[in-house]
Amino acid sequence: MAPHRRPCEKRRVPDATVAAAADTLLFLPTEVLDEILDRLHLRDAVRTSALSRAWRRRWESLPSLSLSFLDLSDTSPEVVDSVLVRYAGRIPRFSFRLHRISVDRLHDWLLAFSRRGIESIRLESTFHFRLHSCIFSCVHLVFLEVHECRMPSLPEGFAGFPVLKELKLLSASYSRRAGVANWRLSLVVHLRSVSWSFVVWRSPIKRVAQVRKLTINTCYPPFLGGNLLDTFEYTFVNLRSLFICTHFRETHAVLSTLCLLRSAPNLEELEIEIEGNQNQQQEIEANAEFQNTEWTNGLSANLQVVKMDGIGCLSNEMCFIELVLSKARVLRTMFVTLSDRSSKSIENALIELNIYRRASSHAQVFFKGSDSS
Amino acid sequence: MASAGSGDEKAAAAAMITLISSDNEKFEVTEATATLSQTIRHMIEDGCTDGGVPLPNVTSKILARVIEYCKKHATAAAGEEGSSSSFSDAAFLEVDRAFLEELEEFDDAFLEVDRATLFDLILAANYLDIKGLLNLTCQKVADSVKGKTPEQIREMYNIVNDLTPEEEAEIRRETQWAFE
Repeated sequence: MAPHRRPCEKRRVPDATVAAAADTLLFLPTEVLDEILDRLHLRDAVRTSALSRAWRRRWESLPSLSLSFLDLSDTSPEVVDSVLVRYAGRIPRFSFRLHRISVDRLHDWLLAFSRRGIESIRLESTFHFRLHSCIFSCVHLVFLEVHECRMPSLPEGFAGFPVLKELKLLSASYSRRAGVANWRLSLVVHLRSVSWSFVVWRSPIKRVAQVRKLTINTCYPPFLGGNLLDTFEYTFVNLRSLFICTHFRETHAVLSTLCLLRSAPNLEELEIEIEGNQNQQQEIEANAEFQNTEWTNGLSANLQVVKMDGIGCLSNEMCFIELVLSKARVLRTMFVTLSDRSSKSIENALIELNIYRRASSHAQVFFKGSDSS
Repeated sequence: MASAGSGDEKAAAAAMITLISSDNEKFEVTEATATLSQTIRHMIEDGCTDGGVPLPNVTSKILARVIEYCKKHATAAAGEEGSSSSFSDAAFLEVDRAFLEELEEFDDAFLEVDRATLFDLILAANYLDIKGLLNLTCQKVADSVKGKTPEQIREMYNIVNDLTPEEEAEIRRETQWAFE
């Protein structure tokens, strides 16, 4: 939109009779027509090229164009190429569902987008693909969502995406050499919301405290020495909502969960999804005493809602539930869903849950068997 | 004088601005209503609204509609400010929701105009720099184009097709995916 203008400026005064006789859309001021075309889906905007000679290149002169292809069921790479060849302006957003034939083109596209001020990239994929390191050239990224990809290693001296606000890496993997450790929080200085599959927290950046909502997977052991979150020294002051995908079978996972909770003093909502094979035995016995030592008093001061999905009623899980109930003084609701491979029957689990002491007199516990049972 | 804002008691107490249409009709509105227009807001800031604000690009018919929009949305803006401090109160949220729904209904009804009026409203919103009205009207035009064939769009907006059949075939071939 044009900056404000003073009325003393002389502007073209439209005359209704002229407008009625001519192409009414092209009669509009350029910035207004841009505004209208900007609201169209890419396909509708491109289709205006067949209206008339004056329209043929009109969409190509738009100041910015968002390339969203997710509404098209099967987009061939030539479609993106055909747009890039014709359109030279800014491309703030790109969303695409990758196929095996389009993966090879992705690198060139990312490079092109990095020169066109790309701010938002969403790549869906049904197969695992290798993301090229030219993603790091896209320094204006505010939003990045990638499914099923193998992350490139960080280039030497990469300072992070300076304005990134939201990062979603779903089913991402990392080569041993690249190291998950490299994909650390230094990437994301201004993040508001993070969804992460694997993270190692060894970053000098303290400003992650702005994050309000965090999704994290702590199922996997850290590749670096030491415990994943053991030495984690930051506090997520603004964190209100935390979703953890984890389990309670191994020390590193239990410690990570407790450490995260320790780092989020103002947390109000906690959701834990238990991942992995419930038949697998507990590697360690993280009993009440152990968990209690890791827990600190301030930890659950604001916790109001807790959800635990897919628990197998392992003793470590039950200890955790007991701990939360006994510490969270303002807890309103706890939802527990049993896994279909639970070691206890619904009745027995319920009996056990009911005898746990509750620090909050308002706390209600809702209990559900697995969906399949 | 057309009295677009004089019936409102609250308005009478507030500072009033006189807007003058291209056909020299005068509209008295509150400052809160008038300043939805960035153009007028800047004129007020510059202190050059004494004796009325002439709007040579806007007819009285269109200006009356624009003022109708601004009055409704100025009330909405005031309501939002008032309730922001009690956002956690469920009753207030309920009121807010009802008010937003009402506003949406107003906008929908407001857009029930013929195409010529719609375009005049766009031009007025652009000239007066009223972001909300410009968004609303531009969206209406964009929606009318969505999913339409070139033939349908040409008919709607008086576009003469001066492309030769060969040229048109070529355009469709170049970006075939957009025409499927």
